[in-house]
Amino acid sequence: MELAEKVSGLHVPKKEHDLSQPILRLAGIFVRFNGTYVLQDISFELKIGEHVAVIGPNGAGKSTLFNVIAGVLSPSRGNVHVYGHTPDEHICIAYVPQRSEVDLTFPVNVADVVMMGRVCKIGFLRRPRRGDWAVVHDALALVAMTHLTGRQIGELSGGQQQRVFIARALAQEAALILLDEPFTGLDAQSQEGIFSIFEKLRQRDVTLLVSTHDLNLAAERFDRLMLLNRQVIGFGRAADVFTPALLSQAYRGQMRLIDTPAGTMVLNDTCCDHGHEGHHHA
Amino acid sequence: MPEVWQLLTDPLQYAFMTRGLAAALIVGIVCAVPGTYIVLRGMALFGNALAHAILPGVAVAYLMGGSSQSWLFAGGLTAGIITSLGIGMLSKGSIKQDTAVGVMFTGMFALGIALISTVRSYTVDLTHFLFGNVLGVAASDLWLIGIFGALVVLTIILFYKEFLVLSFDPILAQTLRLPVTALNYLLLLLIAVTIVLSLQTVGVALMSAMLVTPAAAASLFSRRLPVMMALAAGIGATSAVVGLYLSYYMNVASGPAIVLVITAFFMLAFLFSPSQGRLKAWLAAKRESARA
Repeated sequence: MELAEKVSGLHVPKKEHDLSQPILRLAGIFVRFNGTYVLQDISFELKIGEHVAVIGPNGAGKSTLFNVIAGVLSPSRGNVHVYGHTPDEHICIAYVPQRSEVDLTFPVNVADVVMMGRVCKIGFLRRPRRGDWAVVHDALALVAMTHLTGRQIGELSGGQQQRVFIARALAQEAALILLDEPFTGLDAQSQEGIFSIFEKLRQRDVTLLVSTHDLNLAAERFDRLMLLNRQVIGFGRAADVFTPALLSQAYRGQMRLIDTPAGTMVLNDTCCDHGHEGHHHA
Repeated sequence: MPEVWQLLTDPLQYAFMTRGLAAALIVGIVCAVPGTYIVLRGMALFGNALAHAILPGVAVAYLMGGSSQSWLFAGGLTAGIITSLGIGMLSKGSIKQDTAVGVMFTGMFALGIALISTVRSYTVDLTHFLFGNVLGVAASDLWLIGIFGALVVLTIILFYKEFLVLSFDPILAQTLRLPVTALNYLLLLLIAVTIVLSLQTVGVALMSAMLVTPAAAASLFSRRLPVMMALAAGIGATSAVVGLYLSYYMNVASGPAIVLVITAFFMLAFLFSPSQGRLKAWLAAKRESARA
């Protein structure tokens, strides 16, 4: 891509989606940091509209995987294809960051944050037009946040912030949304709020890839699960992935499995005390 | 009242005072605008370092071309760009960025002082570069400051959305395929231009206050970026003018006087904002929910 072309703002990546291709396909992805492989030989495909949870211990490479898919990080080896093209030819991939990674004191209100998703659609040297405001309003309506558009982002509850960031992804007109630990620190009611939004997204055929530490939510609320620990250890329905063999392979020392008459019981996913991803349970 | 009026108009009978006031006013406004991004992005140390690091460029221009502003301007800008690139290159390897900033800043600063020390009138000139000499602003300098200042503010307004996204959420900027590297360099260039055009008003050693403090004070009162920028510019401009009057009547150096007024503004904001800030937020939220 020519720099001049990019700077002039005439170039907004808009490769035609090749709908015969899967929305996302990773083939043999390796990522190496300081000599060690953080991701090894990751290959999988997503179908349009499916909701997939990514689970795995701390330091399993979930955030790295998301960065590769978003086109923010180049893999050391392997290919990512979004509808048959590399991710950096698309702006239809949205990354909803962990709330802990966002500066919540930043002087922006809810509408400002959602409008950020439209920056490319608006184009350089232009201001938002009526159509952009309509998209922002629709996105906020879908996540039931229209009554708080003027609030500074830090004045919202965790669940409300999460909904605003999902609205921003919608304003971006994303076909694939990556959500990094969206449930962390949310109470049950807020989590339900997020899931009811996910159901609305399903009707719009938006594909979701969601990382979480909550194995119950992953098992109950998603179409498929990916068990990740630097490699894809299991990928499929909960019944096929949540086997003692696969779980202990993924979590190694970080989890204890107990066989009870009722089935296998999972004892404390001891996340959060170490590792570089910095997740925190509330 | 006539006494007050006279207090205000008395200094204006001197052309150097009116030029100085105009220069300080422009610099106060212009510094605060990129300063807002410096504060929001946690670049305060970098801004301070960059201000010190332009000294060798200014010194070389000074030794070659005398005190012609356009030479000093070009020299300072060149040194600023070299420093930014140098810090970028050093911190790519195993050296942390703040270490790279520390190394480059003191190295360049020392080079600047060494160069200036070869001139006989060393101390006077060095003082001007370090702490400013706003009363020495010539009419042509004023044009230079005005034009480049307007250019800085205009660029930041034109790229408002992009700089906002880049500062709030760099990963979003990348997934939107914005030219992130180019925008980052553009912001650094704007900061370097701002520093160079403010050189005569406050000098390199006090520059950080012009860039950071008004925005820091404004951040305590604002919930939206344009408000914060406008407020910071207002604080910068007011401080510059008040500081210069104080300097005239109390016979203290102009640069430090301006910076002391800015600092006083910040202290007041810090003391009185939390309650007021919250009250304002609460009222705004009330209004918002009433409208809905």
